[in-house]
Amino acid sequence: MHELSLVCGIIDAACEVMQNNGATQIEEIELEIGLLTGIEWEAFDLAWQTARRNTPLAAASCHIAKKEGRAECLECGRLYSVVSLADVCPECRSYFKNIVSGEELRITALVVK
Amino acid sequence: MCATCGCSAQDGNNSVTIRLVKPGLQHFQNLKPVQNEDHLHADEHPHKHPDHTNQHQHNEGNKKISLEIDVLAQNKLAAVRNRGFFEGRNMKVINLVSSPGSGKTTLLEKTLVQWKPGVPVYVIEGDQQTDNDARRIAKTGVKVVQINTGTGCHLDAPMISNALHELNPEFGSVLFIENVGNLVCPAMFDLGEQARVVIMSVTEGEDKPLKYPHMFHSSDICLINKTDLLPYVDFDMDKAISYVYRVSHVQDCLPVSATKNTGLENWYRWLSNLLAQNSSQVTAKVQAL
Ligand SMILES: Nc1nc2c(ncn2[C@@H]2O[C@H](COP(=O)(O)OP(=O)(O)OP(=O)(O)O)[C@@H](O)[C@H]2O)c(=O)[nH]1
Ligand SMILES: [Mg+2]
Ligand SMILES: [Zn+2]
Repeated sequence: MHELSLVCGIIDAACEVMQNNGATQIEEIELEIGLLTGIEWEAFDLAWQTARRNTPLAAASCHIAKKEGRAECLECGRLYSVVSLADVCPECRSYFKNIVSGEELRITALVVK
Repeated sequence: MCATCGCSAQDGNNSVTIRLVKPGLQHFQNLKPVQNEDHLHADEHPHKHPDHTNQHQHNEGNKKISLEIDVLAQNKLAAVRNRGFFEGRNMKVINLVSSPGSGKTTLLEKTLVQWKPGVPVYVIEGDQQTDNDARRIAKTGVKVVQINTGTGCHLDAPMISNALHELNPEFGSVLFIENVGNLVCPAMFDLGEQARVVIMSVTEGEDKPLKYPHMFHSSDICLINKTDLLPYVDFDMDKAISYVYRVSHVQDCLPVSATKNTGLENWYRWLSNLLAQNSSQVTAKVQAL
């Protein structure tokens, strides 16, 4: 359900930037979304298709750069890729970690007209 | 349309309402919605770093703008303001999250009666549609504000900020926030709380933390409720606790039964410790999401 919240946030923020730039339409939007955000892509897609109707983003193409999850092991310091928050350090088998990337949720560019 | 909650301006039924719930009132329709029309976060968008925008011309009429906008920026900003408000009033604020029915309200009812912090206590209740839980809380004599999120599946920081106007909590008080029953969405929305408590119950299966890691990951303590039902369900407590630690940094994992009053003294001890800490010592976990 929060996919809709996030999409609404994206649309809102994009429209504000568009207006601040004296434009009336958004042709392209680039997003950076971390794979550890827990976003369900199907739900995100559905929310995107629904929510952008009748907005300046109705015809925009959307490019999503998905960022892989990375963690730092708090026992041995090793940096490793994580697919799930439950992943284990490949070096020392500890679960104790800090997430260093994969939680991004950003608009990185807009093409406006 | 609002920035972070899922409501859209087209849907008129979807407005968030906030109101004080008093004991004895039967129907919440009788209560005047304080914030009915006012779409909480409409038209108060903070400027989203116009300075960072870096523009150059694209094809005819098209302009490409490079940005670095955090989609949750508006919520994070409001959460930081709430946290400042809480520190200014020397308050302790606890956000309770769980799946629907894990026992948040029952635990609160017990806590409000049994835990004696010696300072005023308040409650904010989050629920999509009803004020049933707020009425249960009001019966304990504690001042409670209901936030109905409509179809929204979580509380957000601007809603809390609005509810605080209603509540006007005293200096040095404690505020419990019961979030909407949902193990996914509330994880992303920092409310400005100093501690987040995740509750799971033994009827949910011990792999909850692995299935919904984000909520556990963002919490400070985990309560495993309904231990009175352990003889009747297949639930491996040790395994559950090890799963919690696998995905989170929680300080503790406390098995309790809210209805049978088992293990609650550990929860009260944890609360009293939190209360004894200087506000500035509480390292609030600002959501990275
Ligand atoms: N056996 C048992 N039942 C419990 C316990 N705690 C709560 N319950 C029951 O579980 C049901 C749901 O409890 P609530 O406290 O309303 O749960 P909640 O998390 O507030 O639910 P929502 O607000 O709907 O998300 C009720 O029937 C409670 O009586 C417990 O420790 N043991
Ligand atoms: Mg409840
Ligand atoms: Zn390691």
